[in-house]
Amino acid sequence: MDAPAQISGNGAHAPAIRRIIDRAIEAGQGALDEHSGKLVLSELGIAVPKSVRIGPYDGAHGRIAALRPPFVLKALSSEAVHKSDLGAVRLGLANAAEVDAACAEIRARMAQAGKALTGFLVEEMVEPGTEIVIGGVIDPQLGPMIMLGAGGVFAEILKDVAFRLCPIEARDACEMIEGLRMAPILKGARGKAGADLGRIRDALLALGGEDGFFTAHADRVEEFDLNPLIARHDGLVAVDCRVVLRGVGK
Amino acid sequence: MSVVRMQAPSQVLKEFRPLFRPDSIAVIGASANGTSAGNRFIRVLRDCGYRGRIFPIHPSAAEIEGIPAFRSLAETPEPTDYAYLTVPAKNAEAVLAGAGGRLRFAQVMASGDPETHHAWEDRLRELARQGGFRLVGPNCMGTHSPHGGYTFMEGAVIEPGGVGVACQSGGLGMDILRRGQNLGLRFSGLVTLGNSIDVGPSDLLEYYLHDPETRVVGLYVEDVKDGRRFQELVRKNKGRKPVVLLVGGVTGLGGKAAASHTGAMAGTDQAWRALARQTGMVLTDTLDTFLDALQLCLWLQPKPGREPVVTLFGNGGGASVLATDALDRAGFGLASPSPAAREEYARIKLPPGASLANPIDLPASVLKEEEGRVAARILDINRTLTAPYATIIHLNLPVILGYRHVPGFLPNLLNSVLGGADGADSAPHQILVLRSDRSEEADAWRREFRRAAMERGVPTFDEIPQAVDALAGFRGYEEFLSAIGHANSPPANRSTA
Repeated sequence: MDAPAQISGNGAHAPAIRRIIDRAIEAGQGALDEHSGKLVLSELGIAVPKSVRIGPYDGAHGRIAALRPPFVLKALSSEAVHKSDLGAVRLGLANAAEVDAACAEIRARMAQAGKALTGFLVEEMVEPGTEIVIGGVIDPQLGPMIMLGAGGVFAEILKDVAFRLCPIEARDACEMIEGLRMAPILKGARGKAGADLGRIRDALLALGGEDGFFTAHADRVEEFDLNPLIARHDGLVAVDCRVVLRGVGK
Repeated sequence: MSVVRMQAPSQVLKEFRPLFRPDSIAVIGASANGTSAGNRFIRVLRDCGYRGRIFPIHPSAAEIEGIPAFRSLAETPEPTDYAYLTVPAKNAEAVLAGAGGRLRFAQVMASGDPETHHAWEDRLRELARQGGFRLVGPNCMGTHSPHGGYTFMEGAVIEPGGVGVACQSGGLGMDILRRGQNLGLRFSGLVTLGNSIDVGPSDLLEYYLHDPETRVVGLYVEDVKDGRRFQELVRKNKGRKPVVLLVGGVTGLGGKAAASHTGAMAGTDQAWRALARQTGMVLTDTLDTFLDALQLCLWLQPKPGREPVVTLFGNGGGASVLATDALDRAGFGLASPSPAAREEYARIKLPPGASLANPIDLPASVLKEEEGRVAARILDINRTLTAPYATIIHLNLPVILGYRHVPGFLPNLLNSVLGGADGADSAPHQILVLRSDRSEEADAWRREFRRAAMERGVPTFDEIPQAVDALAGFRGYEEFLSAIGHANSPPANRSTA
């Protein structure tokens, strides 16, 4: 993974992020595609896997030379879709030929499901760690609210989550971490290396703090999920992200 | 978040003075024959000794309940501070349109026709704006303001106190008043807000936070209307004045289709819990736990940062065991008697059957020793030498009544168990649990003990687990106070430290 940037909630990124969101809204998109979503995260200093975006009918040969295998392939869509439910994610691809074959399969599946396919994201696979989720949702009475929880595909079954209203302070971020049942795992249970808790705290603040992403852009962002984020002792990487936009087709 | 306009405290107090301390009250909906809700209100005003002027408003009657009536709010000899309208919805508009700028607050009890109430409410709101008055309601029951010398509820205790309540339900407002006063709560105000089309929960919250007579704020909300402002008010309060919240309708959003994992797991309940955590509000989910929390917030002095260990004292071995379990589940421990306390306990000669460890278990036959004064000695040692975070004293009254023939026993026991409520910072929180078998005699003694406890500012409960739950809620408030006193440092991290 790349050298971690400074995770920052200082608001300097706001204009760049606003441009990304506005572009998507102008294009009539109900959600940021994963590529745009990860651009937003990069602006915030939240690490994402090294990746290359290719068009829906592009071949991978020559385009993914800068990436180190194994690869992850994901369908890009301007609609909010549960990619794993659709089979629109493939892991552990060894070379460009395998990527191309997987692309063809996913194209067929997306067409069958009637979902708009805008391209593919080829990413380096992230080293394993603890999966967490950070998300945001707007409460009809109290406004934007941020969530931290046990992540992965079973997040909704585990329901090990902590919510706070935006904006949050560092104290809130720390209490959210401490409040999870999985907190001992994040801290390093039974001889296993823990996660970098300071980095999780900073990510929460960059997303839900005083000038954070969701606090600042809740007028256009309806919900978001970073799931999973891979938390390790040496970093925090957003492997997937979903940003649902407001006011489009609603 | 600084988009919300905030007024100066003095401005807020001034604006609400006509509601809480009206010099004149107009009653619209009383009739000459004397059977309507308006007549009842006038009689309640008289019974509670309201000292301002009362203006019955009626299109034709010359006199109502022996008081000269006026044809409209425009014709009263002086402007009206507070108008109480019990007329049907369709008549309210004409009455308020006739106020002619001579009205400060109107409270409208009626509720509109289900088909057309939105339009009706819009028209009422517009009348308030044009007429320069604030509107409370519609669809509510009235206002209770002992400082203003008036109430809407027959049988309400008019003695002022420190609990300020705003309630978006009229019926529940009456429950809070009735049950609250029987628990010993006295109010700085209780306003039933109904549909809150103008005056909303945030307005009352802001008023009570600034009102020097109000020591604890209690709110029942269903739809807070302006969540941003509400949130900003409680965030700014930072727990300085305790706020107890009962929220209704938190489980109704289950059907909302969400596009994200977060959306699927989020709900109104989580939002309110989050806000409570972030602001030190005590969040409750039933009428009883709401009143219990108000008791503790009113009478207990917060002890942030104290280790949460409790002394249990009372008669009933099994009850003590169950209480210990309840404490454990709620995150409390039992306080170990200090060596000095053990030494002092050893000097007290007790008959067999007593245990002075913790739980301190004294059968009624032992409590009666020294005509009921032995409890005071033991509790005094616990208070000064063990000094736990809290002492929960539980009395199983039907058993104790078996010794009612011992002269002075019951009054002495009462004095003994209330002796520690001196409010000193080092003193434990003192909580009294009065257990009854619901027999008339035990219930009568419970009322008497409770009355004495409320005079001393000691919270009382019917059962121990209920007291433990309430204490756990109060502990959340104390932990908030303790947390904001500390720097925002990252949590301890074993792997990277």
